Amino acid sequence: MNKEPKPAPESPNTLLAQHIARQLLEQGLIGADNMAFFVRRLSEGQLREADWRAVLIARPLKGS
Amino acid sequence: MTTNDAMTQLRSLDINAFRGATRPFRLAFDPGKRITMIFGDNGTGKTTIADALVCLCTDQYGSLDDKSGADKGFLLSEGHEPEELYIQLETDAGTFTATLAGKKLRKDPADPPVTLRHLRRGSVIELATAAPAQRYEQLAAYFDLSGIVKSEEGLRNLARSTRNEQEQIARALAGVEQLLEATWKNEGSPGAGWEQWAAAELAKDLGAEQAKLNALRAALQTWERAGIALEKLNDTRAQGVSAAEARKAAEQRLAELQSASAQDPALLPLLEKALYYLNASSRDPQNCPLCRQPADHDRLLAELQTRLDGMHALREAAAAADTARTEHERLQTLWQGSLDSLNADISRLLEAATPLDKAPVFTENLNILQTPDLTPRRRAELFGELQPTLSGFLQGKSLEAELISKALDRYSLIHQNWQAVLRYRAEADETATLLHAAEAALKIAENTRKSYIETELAAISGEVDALFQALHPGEHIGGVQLFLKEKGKNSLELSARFHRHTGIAPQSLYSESHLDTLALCIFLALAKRYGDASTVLLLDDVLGACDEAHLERFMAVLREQSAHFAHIILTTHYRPWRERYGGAVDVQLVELLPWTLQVGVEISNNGK
Repeated sequence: MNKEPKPAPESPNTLLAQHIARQLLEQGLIGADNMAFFVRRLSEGQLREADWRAVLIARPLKGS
Repeated sequence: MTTNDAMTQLRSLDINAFRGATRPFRLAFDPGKRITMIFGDNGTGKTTIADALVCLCTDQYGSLDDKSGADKGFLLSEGHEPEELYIQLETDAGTFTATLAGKKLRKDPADPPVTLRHLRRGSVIELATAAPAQRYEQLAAYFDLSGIVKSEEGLRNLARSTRNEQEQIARALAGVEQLLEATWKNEGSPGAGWEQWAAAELAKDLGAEQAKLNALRAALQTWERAGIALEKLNDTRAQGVSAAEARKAAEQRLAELQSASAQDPALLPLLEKALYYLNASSRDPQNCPLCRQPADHDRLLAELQTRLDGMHALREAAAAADTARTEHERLQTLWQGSLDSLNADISRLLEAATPLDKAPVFTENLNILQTPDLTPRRRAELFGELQPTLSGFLQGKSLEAELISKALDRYSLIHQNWQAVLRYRAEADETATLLHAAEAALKIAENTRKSYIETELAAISGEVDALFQALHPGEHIGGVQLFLKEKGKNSLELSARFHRHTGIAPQSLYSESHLDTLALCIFLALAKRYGDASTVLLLDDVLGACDEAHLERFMAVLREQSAHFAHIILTTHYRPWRERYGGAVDVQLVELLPWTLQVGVEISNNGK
């Protein structure tokens, strides 16, 4: 009987994107919603100026 | 630490019609051994096996990638059809197969059950001696951060454009603030400051002023219309007088002609018809058409013509009198219409003037126009008489309207500019907040990336150095450091120690065999750090001749590192390796026979 197929290893881009996203979240610069989507786009180089603008404008106010 | 149970186990590799494998080839992996050594002299098919694994498990073409201009279409063995080609790797995590589709390999499933990291002889030296950019290129697959760098650029652009936006808003804000301040100063700098003044100005209720302006404009408008109506009435009256005189003259002339000719103008059309009748050829020319008595036709015609000639002037006078009468009547109707229109405009003017402030004399004048029982004609006459006096009054009202209008325009300007100040201030606040966030996020992204790379490279450097020291104990070499240039995002530097020299480029002083092992250590360290339980290492003829001590240490290192990988496949043509490890309990030796077109790649001892 075969093993389950291996999960794809996380790339350095993904690992670093997770690090960055975690710190941005801790600093209240981004919200926790759609974090996985944000990390994926960050790691794939898909976050353009307009995307960052939308993300940073939509961030929750600290303490709220 | 990954346990052996978690490691992916290779079961077999089958190759057919691929490069040197002209006949079906099968390599059954020994389940108890994690290192497979494929030994063969040159031209036995080691590269075919290595290329098959590379082509199957990666997007690369193995040794064909090293040969500039090599045609990838020659994956198919000589004398075979494309549909015969297959490469199949069986593991305990699944079977992975490649077949030929056109000139490319079609893989099923799309993702291989193992991650293959391969190092070829051709790339060993490059890894250690290449320029930093090429070295980065070789290792990019391990710690490529291009996605992050690209997203980071988007964030940098946001910070830059937001900064520009902030400057533009600040300039626009300063402009309207200066304008308001100048207006405030022009008005004598009332109050504590221009902002308080502007706010106070805007708090004023200008509804009454606007209503007054509206009333003034309505009165002035009706005054203007009444003036035009009066002018029209006067014109019409003058034209009517002329028309009446013309009519009188025309009627008088007609009467005179009638009296002189003693003829009734009503006969004229009858006589004209009679002449027309007698001129027609079909009529009876001998008898009078009226009494039917014999008559002289020609004389009758001559008589008719004479009488008609005499009546011509009468006919023209009658027409002129008719035209003059019609014109006179038309002008009378027009005059009546103008009179009605003027009276209606006077009524509107009186109504519009009611709310206006008036001096008693003007009130009196206006009252005259409202006297009951005034005929429209008399009213119009009175209006004409009072017009010069009323004009003076309404000119004053026009100036008053102008002043109110200017005051309201000034208010509107202050209002617009103050609103702009408030809007720009709000935008400036939003932009400042966004810029602060963008700069903070950029700092986090840059620092995290830098720190990540430094941490990774420090860990890799430590591992490389440990491996290198294990291979070359007491040789006063090592101290290997991998690092990125501060500004060279895609440039990987390498430094090491050689006796008393530290921080040198290894290729400056290291021997070729030291550079070989250094490259191998870098490869192993990277594969280990970024590998997992499914990682298979393929070392394709990476080491040349070396002394027994180094050979021993190399194998010791491989044995130790094999615990971190699913499998290590080693190809070599170096015979001492075969002699030394042919019977080892933990190494599977696969010896290849010389290759022939008929037999292809063949194992001499059935894998034992």
